[in-house]
Amino acid sequence: MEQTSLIGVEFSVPTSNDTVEQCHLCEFICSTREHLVFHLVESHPDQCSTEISEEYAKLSLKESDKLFIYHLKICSLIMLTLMGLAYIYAFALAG
Amino acid sequence: MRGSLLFKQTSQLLFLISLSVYLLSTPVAAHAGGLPLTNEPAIIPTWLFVLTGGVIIGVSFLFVSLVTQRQLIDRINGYQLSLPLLQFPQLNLPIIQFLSVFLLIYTLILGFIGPQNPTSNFAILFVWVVWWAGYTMTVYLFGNTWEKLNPWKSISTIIPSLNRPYPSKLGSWPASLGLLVFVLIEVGSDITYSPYTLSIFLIFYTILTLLGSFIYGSEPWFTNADPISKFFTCYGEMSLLTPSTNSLNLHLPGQKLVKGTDNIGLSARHEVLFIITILFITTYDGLISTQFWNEWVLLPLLSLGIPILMIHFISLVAGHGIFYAIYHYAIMTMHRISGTYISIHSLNIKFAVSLLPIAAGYHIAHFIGYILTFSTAFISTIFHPLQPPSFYPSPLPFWIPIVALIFILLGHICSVWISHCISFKLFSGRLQPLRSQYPIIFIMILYTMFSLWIVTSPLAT
Repeated sequence: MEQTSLIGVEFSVPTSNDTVEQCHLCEFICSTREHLVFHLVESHPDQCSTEISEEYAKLSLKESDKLFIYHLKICSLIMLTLMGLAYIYAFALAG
Repeated sequence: MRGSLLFKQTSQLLFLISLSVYLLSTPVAAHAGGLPLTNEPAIIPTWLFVLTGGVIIGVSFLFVSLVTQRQLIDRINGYQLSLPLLQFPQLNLPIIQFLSVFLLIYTLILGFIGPQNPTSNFAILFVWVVWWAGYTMTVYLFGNTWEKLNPWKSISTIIPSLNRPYPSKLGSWPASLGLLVFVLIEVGSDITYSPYTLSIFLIFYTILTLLGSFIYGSEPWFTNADPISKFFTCYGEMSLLTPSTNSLNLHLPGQKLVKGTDNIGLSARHEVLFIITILFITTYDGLISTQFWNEWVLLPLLSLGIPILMIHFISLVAGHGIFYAIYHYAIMTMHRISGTYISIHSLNIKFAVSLLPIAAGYHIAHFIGYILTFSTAFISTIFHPLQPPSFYPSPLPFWIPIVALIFILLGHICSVWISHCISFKLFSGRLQPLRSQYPIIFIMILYTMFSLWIVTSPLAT
């Protein structure tokens, strides 16, 4: 089912029993309650209730922990990639 | 206070990114011997050079992934340097329009009566070197001036029009098709080196354009259906400069693309196709001049008796289709990975603009040496249009291939950033936008490697 929000983005909402959370301010459709809370605070910060802001603070803290791990992985990947490239260069230029 | 600290940290981060890109790219580029613009032998193998390009894009994505604060992203995108002493010169529009029409007629006439040697003919040098290569660069660096300079638009405003409503179903299809036909003619005929053919084409294009604007009106035709106007409108959105009331504002390339795509008017699949077309034609132009293409594709097909125009037609249609299919597949994967309910159609439209900097970077890389080589010949033809002195190309400076490669990489890095910003505008939270980027970054890495392979491949003799 196609649906267009007030901000001009089209949505393909599943017809099954998947969860659907819709923003009452701009009709943006999210797949989870978590994403809806993020959307409300990030897109309509002035119109959010205190409960939503508190819920956002909790969810954001939880996400920050995950993001910290994610950033650690990214830093490791940067190091690994650059080291790998240096090794490849060393072998290629030595050979 | 927190904001300024974040800004300082980002500046340091961006400096580190720039430094790493510089350190990674410079030694590699300096030895890229297979470049069409240099004759120096390669020191590192091509595969390693191509791999390095892919790694730079991958690493730039990893660095960009560290920027997850929305306020910070907005602040970076909103940063602009006001240049109060500089302003776009206020020129008299009718005079500019008259000059552009005069230049069109002058080019057309010299195509017929000028010397038929391409390096001595004003028409050939003006159209291909000054306009197609050089002027396009000014559009994506400084803004779209074509709206004012377009001679066909100037003529169309003084002729009457039936003002029939432009069929909305057509959208940008005529522009996409026109751009592909334009490239087909460029690669499949002698239009790039025969002044006579060029003038014939100009006459044909003029009739077609004026007929279109006569039926549908000047504005609808040039906004939707004219491939050249649409081409420059898209590139104009990438400009580094924006005029304000009393000054010129210098900002990051593609800032307008991040803020919105209102000027381009992206609203449907055919608009996305047009951007894919822009990206594809720059790649195709480079690909067909490689030795690989000529040995493995062109010559075997010619030996089967297939006409060259047909080969180019099939390659253009198939290549364009493959480009779109890859992009569409990446967007479908993005849709699945991110778990969003935003439709694939909308994602297709929103992320298409992030491909424009790649096309611009590749355009500079492809044409910078070309402009420098033939600019002296063009200057000669201005003063001696009918009997210019003989032209002997001088060798290009050693740094041209390096600059070309840096621009390819910069275009890709700019695309990575724009795509990152768009994802933070569309998706909520911080992890969802980051994860959504994997497929599009993957195709960008592959495309970078493909582009670098093209520019390092030996030219066909």
